[in-house]
Amino acid sequence: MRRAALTAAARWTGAATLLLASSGSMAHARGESGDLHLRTSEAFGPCLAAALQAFSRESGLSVVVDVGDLDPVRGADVLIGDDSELTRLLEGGIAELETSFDLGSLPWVLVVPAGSPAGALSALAPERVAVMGGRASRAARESLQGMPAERMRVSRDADELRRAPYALVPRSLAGPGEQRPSAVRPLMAVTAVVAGAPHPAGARTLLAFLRSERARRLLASCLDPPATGAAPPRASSPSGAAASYAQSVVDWWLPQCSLTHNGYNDPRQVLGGPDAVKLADKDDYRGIMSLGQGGYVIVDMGQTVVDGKGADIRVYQVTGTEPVTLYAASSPQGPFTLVALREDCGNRVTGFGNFERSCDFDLRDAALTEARYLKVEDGEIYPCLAGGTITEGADIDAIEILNITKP
Amino acid sequence: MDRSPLSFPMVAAAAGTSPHPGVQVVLDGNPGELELEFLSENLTLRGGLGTTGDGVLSNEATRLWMHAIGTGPVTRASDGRGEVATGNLMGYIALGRAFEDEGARGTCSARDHTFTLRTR
Repeated sequence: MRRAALTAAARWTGAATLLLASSGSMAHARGESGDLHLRTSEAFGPCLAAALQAFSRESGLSVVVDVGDLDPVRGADVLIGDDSELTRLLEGGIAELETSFDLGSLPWVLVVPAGSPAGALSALAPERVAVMGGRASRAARESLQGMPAERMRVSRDADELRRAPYALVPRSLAGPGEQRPSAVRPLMAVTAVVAGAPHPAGARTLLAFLRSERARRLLASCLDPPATGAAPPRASSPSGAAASYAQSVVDWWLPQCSLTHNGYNDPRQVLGGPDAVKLADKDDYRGIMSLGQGGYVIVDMGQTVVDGKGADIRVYQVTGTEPVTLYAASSPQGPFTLVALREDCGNRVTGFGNFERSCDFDLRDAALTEARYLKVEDGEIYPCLAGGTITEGADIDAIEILNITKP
Repeated sequence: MDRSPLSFPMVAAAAGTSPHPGVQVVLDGNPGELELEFLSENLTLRGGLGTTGDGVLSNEATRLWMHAIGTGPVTRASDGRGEVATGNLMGYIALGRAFEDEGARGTCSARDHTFTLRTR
């Protein structure tokens, strides 16, 4: 673990307006003893310095930045990490979902020596390719899975990654070589206050600052603005027909372990439109079915979904990016054809903050022209006995047909 | 990525009957490190195989990270117990040495990994 202390002397004169505007919480925050601790992962550490220095100058609060795995939180007040790193912390109530928001996205880049010819990294690199390690880099490593392992160097050392002449890294860790765009899904920086944080008022003051336009401008040199989310749930389809959500449950299964430990096992909760609610208490939800370790639910959509333009099916899932596997069939007994395996289900849904997420599926990917019965299976596949939450597995809210009529 | 088989000492037990009968197969001694939760019907096992973020060390001293769906026919072993001689595994696998990062020895997401459950 590397620690970097960011401390700035208070400049009360320059911060007078801010202090007046939030004098209550700021005074409270200053009354808390000790430094604020912010825990972040390797990719985002370099992005935060300017914003945190400005925060310290303006608030008089010192922030210590700890870089490493977010879980366990190790006494942190505030977390900043990729969506995938925060999923289990948010859904388990270790970090406060209601405080979380997106700071911005961070693209992956291919780094090669300047003037290198065009081509795949695996073909270009005469030596080992450095790839960032950790939970957030799974997709990046998967993108290089055709490359022999001995030609890859997985590292979480920012300096080593920056020195590498050939690398696949988040843009914040790119060295001096030429940067080329990568198709790997960008990281999404999400922040949240840790539940029971040692400095709760200071943590909230920091998050309020990070939401401000001033902080956004300071982060913009490193993070791209958060992408617009998927369209909000609809009352009608593009064809004008009533929006179609899952109508009835055909079959379902949860492992006995998940049935015992999870709190949301009712398959009927996936029927109808998105209606999931997060209540005040930790782990307290309404309107979801948690799929546990590899569980599934099969639904009758009530009408036929067809392969049309773009995505045909949308699954709504709450709290994080837990992956979902989707199969489709024309008969309730199957055979079910795999449409997509372990698809990250973390697209933002406009109007639902950081709570409601979605993922889209295209029947064309399975060479299907139509289907009526859909099997939604957990893709997180985290050991039930090690889980520790009552929402293990993908937490399904609703399943929607996007293409009902043939184009 | 090294394709040599990795092996783990496991313990299996029936697990639940509703809505479908299940079988739980866990790492002997550390059940939460490697856990297989199967639906068991029609002489077929199907379900999730998962590890935590720390992965699990194999008998061969390679660390495995896995999030996959396994399917396989159950056959009768010589002692009368059930086993899966050849199962299909779809999903994510990453390898590393004992103290290396996840994926340091390779990462592979595929629909055609295989697994075996044998009696011991």
